[in-house]
Amino acid sequence: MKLTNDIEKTIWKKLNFAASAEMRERILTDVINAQEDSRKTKSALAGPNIRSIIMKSPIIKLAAAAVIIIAVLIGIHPFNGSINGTTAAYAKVKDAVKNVPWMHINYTGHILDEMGNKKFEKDRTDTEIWYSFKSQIVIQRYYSGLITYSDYANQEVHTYNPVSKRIVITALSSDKLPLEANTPWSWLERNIQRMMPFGGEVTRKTGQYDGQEVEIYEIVSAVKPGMAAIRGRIYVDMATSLPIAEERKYINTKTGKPQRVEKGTFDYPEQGPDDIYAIGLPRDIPTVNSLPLPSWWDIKQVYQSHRRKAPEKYIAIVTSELSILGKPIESVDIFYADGVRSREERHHMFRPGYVGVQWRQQAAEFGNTFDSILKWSQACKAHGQISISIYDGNYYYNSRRDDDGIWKTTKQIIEGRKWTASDFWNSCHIADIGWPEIRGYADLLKDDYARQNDLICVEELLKGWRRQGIVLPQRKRYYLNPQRDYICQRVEIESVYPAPWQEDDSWLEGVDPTSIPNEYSSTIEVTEFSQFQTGRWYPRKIKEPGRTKTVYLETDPEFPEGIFDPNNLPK
Amino acid sequence: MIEDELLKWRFKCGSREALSRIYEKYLNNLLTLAMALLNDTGAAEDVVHDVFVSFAKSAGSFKLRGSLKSYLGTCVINRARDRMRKNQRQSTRPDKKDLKSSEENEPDQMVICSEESKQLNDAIAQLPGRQREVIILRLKGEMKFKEIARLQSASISTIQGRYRYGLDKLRSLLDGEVEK
Repeated sequence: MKLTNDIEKTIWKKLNFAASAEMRERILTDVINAQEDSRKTKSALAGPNIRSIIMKSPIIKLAAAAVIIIAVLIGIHPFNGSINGTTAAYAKVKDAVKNVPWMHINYTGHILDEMGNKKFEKDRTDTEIWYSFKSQIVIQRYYSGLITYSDYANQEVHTYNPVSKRIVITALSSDKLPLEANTPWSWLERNIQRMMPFGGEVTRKTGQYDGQEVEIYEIVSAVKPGMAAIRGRIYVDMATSLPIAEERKYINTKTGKPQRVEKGTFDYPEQGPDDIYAIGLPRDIPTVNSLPLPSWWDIKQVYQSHRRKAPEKYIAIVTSELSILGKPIESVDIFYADGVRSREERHHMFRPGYVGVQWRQQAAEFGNTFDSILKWSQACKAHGQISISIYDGNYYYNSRRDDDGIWKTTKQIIEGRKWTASDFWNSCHIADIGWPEIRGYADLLKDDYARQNDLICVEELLKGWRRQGIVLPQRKRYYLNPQRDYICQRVEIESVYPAPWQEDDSWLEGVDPTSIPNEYSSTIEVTEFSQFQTGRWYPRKIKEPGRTKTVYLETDPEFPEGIFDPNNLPK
Repeated sequence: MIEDELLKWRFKCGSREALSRIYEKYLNNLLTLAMALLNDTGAAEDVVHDVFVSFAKSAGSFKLRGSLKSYLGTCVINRARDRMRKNQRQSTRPDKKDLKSSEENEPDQMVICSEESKQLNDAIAQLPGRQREVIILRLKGEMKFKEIARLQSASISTIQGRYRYGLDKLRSLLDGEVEK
């Protein structure tokens, strides 16, 4: 019962006081009353600048993109006074757009081959959008089946995930329509501002669209090296002054041929969808209320930014210890990074069949400190394979020792693209261990584990697939720790068959039922954290099925001499 | 932390839900800070109460770029300092007997904690005020030394020294009392 070396940990973990329910209620009542009093005595508050928050959200970016075309239309006059007669049209269109209750847009896009034919029948960017400025609603239905119903008045977004087949309610990052606009006009103005850096030339003429007499506004973007030129056309109904269609072509500046075409059609119904169900979802769909969390899109951006935040200079060691008697180390990964220069080593401790004996031979020398492991690695004493790679900013070199302990002449020189410290960090295990990739669309849930540990639970449902073998459908729950730089503190993986989210069995057609793997579940958990000198968190110990990984990190290292010199690679 | 950023913004816009969430999220943490600084349940409740009430009233003028947790922690420190100044005659290091007697007078337990927490807190209460602040802000407020240095108007090395000396003293005070 001694407290000697670990006093910090003890205070951190064990010094905790919690308010009784009575105290909690008593203070809360006063706090809420204070807020109410304050509200009564003060004038309405102006919202803070939220532009930066808004533009972080891909949902909102898409919504904003959808009205760019109108911005072009309305923006003609302010930015190009050379078009005669636009002033009246401009005012007319402005008024027309301002008074519509709902605006409904269907976007489709196609990639074209060299002959100008569609490469694919459907396009990932195909989107249906509904806007209501009056009731402050923006609805988007994506090609994937994902639907978002953003209610700006109530600051909620209802997201239908077509894989999990449920609706998750989260908070909107703003109570104002995208681009801080509360009216169509202010929205359009913001879009005009966004168009300004692209430059380009605008012309206006009358013509026909779909047998109808229209005004055609054409904008051609300024040609920039390496970028496709954009030629956009907006067709405006001369009777109502409302845009009815838009076409956008992306021209390959080398060949002069269009490589992508996008089209949008507009209509202006009196009534729009009342809720998310009104656009084709059954009312008995399960709904999860994850308020007050923001949407997964928003959280994902923060999560990924933490993952990408790479130190410029470091030495990192990741050991993998087997959970068997004697706890032998199975492999060691070592990463040296100094700006663009990097070195990556993997040492396998064993040759097959000699696990225990070989570990006992190595254990004492290997030790359990950063310095002892580094020293051990430099002597290349592992009994199994060793692979060492160096990137010197221009070339990539690799030397490999085989199972028999012989360095083979496999040194390679591969001309590669320029790597950055960030690229290297993302390829090193720490980024994967601490912030694993969550690729698909995921739902934010509030389960007991997340609640009890103040974590954010992200559930991703994956469909099964066949490649070389059969991978069963998986349910993955990631628990992110917002107090620790969003490190993914726990991952629960469960393979399920049959899975409710993949009822269609056609993916297993022709498969011998006995070859379908058994269901399984596993958990990966960060059991210890540590911090960089800058205060940033990283996972220190990670428990995985059958093994424990330990991370040793030095962010102000003295690199051993010649460590980045390919001439020093073992031969 | 995006949740906090969102909460800050919504709180500023007058959201009661955001204020409640902030309260629920940080109440126990602030209470722990206050208890560690004052070692007095009633005083700690008063401080936390005043911090939250003052925070609730500040929505209109609220401007915060940094961490909400650090901000609220700093408010607790400042309130606790005020309180200690006002009660100069009262010892800032109440012994165990005083603490027990004050709790025994309360019909309902106002603050929930383990026996270990009490022991730790009693030991922390015996540290000089500045050392106590540094240790508590660092370990429970999760503030950086740089931030604490600003709060105590001292250099980072001084703060690190206070932290080290404080921990050494705690080790000697707690040796054998609290399980690791």
